[in-house]
Amino acid sequence: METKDAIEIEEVVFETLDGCNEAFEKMTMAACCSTEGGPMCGCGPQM
Amino acid sequence: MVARKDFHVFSKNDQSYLFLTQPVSVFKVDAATGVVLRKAEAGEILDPISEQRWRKVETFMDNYCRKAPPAKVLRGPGDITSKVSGIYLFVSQECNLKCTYCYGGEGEYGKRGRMSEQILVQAMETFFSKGEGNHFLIFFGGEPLMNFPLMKKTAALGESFRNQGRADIGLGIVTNGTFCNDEIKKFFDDHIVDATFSLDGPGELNDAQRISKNGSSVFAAAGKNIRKLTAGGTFNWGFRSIVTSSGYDRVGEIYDTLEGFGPGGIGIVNVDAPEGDALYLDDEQYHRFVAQITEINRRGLRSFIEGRQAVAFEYPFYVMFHFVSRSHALYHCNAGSNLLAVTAEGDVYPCHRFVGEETFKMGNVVDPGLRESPRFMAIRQQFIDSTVDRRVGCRDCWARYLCGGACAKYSYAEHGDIDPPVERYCYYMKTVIEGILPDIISAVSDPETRRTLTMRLKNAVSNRRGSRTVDPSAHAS
Repeated sequence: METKDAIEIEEVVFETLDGCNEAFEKMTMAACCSTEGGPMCGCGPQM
Repeated sequence: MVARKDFHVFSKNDQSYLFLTQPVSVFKVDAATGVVLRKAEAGEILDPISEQRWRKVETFMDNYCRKAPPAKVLRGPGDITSKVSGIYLFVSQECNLKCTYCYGGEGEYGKRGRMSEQILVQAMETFFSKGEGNHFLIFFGGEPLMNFPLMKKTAALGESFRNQGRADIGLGIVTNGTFCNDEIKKFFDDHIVDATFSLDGPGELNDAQRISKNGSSVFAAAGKNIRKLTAGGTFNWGFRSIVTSSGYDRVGEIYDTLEGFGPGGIGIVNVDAPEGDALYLDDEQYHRFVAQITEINRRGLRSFIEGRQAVAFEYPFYVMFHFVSRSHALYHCNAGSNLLAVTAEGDVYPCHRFVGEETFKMGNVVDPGLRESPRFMAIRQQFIDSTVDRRVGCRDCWARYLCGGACAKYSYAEHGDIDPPVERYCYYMKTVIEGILPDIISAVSDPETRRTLTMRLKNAVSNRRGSRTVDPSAHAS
């Protein structure tokens, strides 16, 4: 928590995910949807 | 000084959040600071007290950005090689359905026909024969299974390429699910890595939009076949569901119906129809649709945290990934550079959505000099140049690196140019990000939940059989 004259700013901390960038890129390679219509894909991450 | 395009403040449930674009960081801020930041972001003139507060926060942002490690670009122009990673292969420009919203004119794209073995071989030789490792090929149409013999030849050719060390090709398919027999089932089990089934939700809704030419119920046939094809779980699969003006307020119901098929992915998108079309979602309907999509994604996030199969999880996944890896997306997708489409006649386009747009016809696979031709190179370069840092309208947006910009085809359809932003897409992305980010923040605020979430995310990326997460603990019993 950082407080400056009643200014409160708290950073949200995320764990790192080192080593996964290449896998992620592969996972989202066809990340534009492969079907009709729509502005965003569904063929990226499906879990 | 942090530019206005490089920060964003938003609120949810009385909590204000500050997002810093360049380092991909987010902060909780007090309400008074949130108000001042909002005014500063909007370029409003501040009163002296607000100005004082703004200066302090600005100094904090400056210092933070200076010290923060630079974000990683996931895929920048300099990273793009000449390798064609994947192609959509239009094995059949024929379809047994006549879906009301089909942009391909009953799947024919104005040129009804089926791909020949000659075109197939030339496509494979053109794009997959240079010893460049892994590739993927998505059977597309029309309905690709109407040319099942060629799909079998593709798999056999892929095997021979693999045995010769020329390429390792993963096969995917987008199908309406109405074709299935034991041979097709075995083909899916043996060769398919990723399958997308087109199904629009509850039977009466689906069958009003996805209409069989022989009058039978598409939902009944596809539903039965999809259960058969996915039994055994040898490949990744998911649904693609199109929402029109008939179903804009039934997103939850659509989701529930598709979830009932088991742990596949679910992608729900609004129809690509021109304004004034009966299927088109007007602004009010569209806003209602996006609100429901946001809720569906929040539901997906909760499922993911709780360890259940999260079937609708696209946006939280992308957003989370960018935060944990501190990465920037410069593109919407890889269309036109590493991803192309090949029609039944061998014509090459930047992706399946551009098929039939003569302006974007890059050439034909029968041309041995295709990949070096000026036309092919020029169109390809146009897509490589289209990063969010260059796209006017995107380059000044706080969300640009979480978004990657709108689909090039949507920009082209709306503006006659692949670069400008698409207003509805911007609304969609910003709404979803602001809707789910507080949930993600809440989840990672607890150290134990944060570790769990990170582990599941890592597993999801690393242990993907194509796209599905295999959680060993979920199968222990």
